[in-house]
Amino acid sequence: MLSSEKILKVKNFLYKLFDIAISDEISIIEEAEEKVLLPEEYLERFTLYAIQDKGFLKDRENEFKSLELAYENWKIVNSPLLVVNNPGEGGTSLLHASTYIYPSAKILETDKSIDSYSKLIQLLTHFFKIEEKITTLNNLGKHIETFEESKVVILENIERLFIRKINGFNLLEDFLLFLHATKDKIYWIVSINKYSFYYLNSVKYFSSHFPSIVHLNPISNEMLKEEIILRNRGYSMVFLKPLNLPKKIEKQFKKVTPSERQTILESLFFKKLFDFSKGNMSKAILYARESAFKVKEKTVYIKPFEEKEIEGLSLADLFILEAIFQHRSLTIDELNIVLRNSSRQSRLTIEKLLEKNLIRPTKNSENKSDYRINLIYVDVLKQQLRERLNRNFR
Amino acid sequence: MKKTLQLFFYFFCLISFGQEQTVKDVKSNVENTLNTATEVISFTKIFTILIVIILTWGIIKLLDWFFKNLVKNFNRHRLKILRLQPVVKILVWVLAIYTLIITLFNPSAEAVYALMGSSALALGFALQDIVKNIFGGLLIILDRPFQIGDRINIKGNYGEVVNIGLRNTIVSTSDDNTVTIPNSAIISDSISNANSGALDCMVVINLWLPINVDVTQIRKIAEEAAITSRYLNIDKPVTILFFDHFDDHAATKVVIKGYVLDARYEKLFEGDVTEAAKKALIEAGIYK
Repeated sequence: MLSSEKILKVKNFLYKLFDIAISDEISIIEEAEEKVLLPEEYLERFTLYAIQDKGFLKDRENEFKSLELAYENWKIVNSPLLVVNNPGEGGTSLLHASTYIYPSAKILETDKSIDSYSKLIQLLTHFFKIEEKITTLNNLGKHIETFEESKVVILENIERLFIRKINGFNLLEDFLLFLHATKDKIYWIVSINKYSFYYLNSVKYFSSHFPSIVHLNPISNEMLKEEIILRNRGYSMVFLKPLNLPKKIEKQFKKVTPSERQTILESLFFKKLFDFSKGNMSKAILYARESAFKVKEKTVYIKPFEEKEIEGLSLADLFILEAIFQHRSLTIDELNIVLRNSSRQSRLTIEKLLEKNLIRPTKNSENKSDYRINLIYVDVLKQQLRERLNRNFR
Repeated sequence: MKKTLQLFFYFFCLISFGQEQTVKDVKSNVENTLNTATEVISFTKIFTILIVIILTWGIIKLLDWFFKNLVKNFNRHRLKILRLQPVVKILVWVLAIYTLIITLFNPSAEAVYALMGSSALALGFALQDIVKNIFGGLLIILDRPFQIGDRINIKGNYGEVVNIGLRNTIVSTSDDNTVTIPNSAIISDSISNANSGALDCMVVINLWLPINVDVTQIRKIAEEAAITSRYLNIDKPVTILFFDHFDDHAATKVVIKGYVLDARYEKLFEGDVTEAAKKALIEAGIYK
């Protein structure tokens, strides 16, 4: 017998096949009317932040082992390390928490975009506390060679060093040369966004510069559940019926007691959470936050969040989304450069994507808006890029 | 005189009798013909033919709509879906014709053989070209030198194959012209196929530069013009080639070979790369 969830999937597939519009707007409006504003105190529990302590990081034992092994390798062959991670997968947390492996490690942190040689050199000289005036990466490399002690440097989001335009790879390529020139004195640990890695690897053979590459594995479902329950600590969780409850479960409901019903709904909620997050901790936290329906005193009512289907994206929309994926975030000016568009064209498309909630704006250090992909839709959008732009991204 | 009158009488009797017989014969013949005609062309039969034709036409239109939606929703498998379309459509037509023959005439095996023999002779003379085209169409479907969605060049017409029919193949050129080519002409000519069933295809972009350019600098510009294009299939390599030409004016020909993500965007890719390269060449002072 087919479960009603499967029937719904088949129904959706047939609707898609015969191009029949599914009227989900009504349910969204109803939902918006129903949903009660949640208290700040509760929402704060779902803030995403990087973990600094290894003890708080869940299910990353294998990754820590890989990092330890890579460090041992560096001691012998001086090879730099690349950490490839998806947004929200916990790459930053892993790198911050891994400093126990190399006590002298320094994290090269900046929220500024590094789009010129001067900015990169300024950042590095400041980081290494070099007072001498250095104008080229070559000279900086020579200076580093004079260091008595070796250092460990963690540089996050290396994709910020390139922009997809002619001569836009120069900075990244020169940095890689600098990295090779200084690898005897510095153990470079570099992280990159997975989609940027896919692009740079295809067009510039990026991975060939890194003999050691660590990919982050999905976090186990048990750990995700533990984290969500932890974030809800102090509140009793009441699980509500989802919008589309499988008929089999509905039948079951008639035969069981209210507490047993809660157990069924709880497992249903977590099943949906696991399917949505696919081992990505940040996505799981976001899902739990979106599912919080109402908070009354110390009780939170949870109704599984229904992910909306994304349709009607034009080719121009997809190209903009792909450019953002490749660079992690982009400003309007950068988008114009990357897509060889006029500013008006880019702004119109950006407004459309903001309306659909597929991207979100953030303010960078120069007080400019840059746009990044909404974490909730990361996987769905990647699927669209795969399907419609013929990208073989895994 | 008496003899003459007798002969005239006999002749008159014969004509009168003969006329009566003829009228009877004609009458019975007309009746027979009418009976046979109403048997062959009855209202029921005409109605059946109409229904079958309308139904077949409806099914074909429905199939067109269905395939169009399939292509829209499953773009990655576009070419595979489009390949099925002519086969299914031909099957529907064959089924419709078979249904008509069987329901209307219910012919015996002998009648079928006789019909085949006589129609082969008639078709051989009268419908030579049409038969050639139909067989050409069947050969194209079975032999598959190209399929729907492929970019082909035949008889100087380059474009996307949008339909393979029983008589003609329709190619849509990059200028959005529809070229109808008889199938018989296609099977007897050489065809170049740019993508052979794949979604992407190689695009060759030529840039003409002065003979004394710095090839290292040009290689970088040409390569990055291609790899930064939104239309590039990044999973396949980009190749840059240089050729010297000394025909009318000495010049360097730069050939950029890259794969476009979807053959439909071939010209857009070509334009995008050329535009980006040209801007960079102007910036570098190579083009003035």
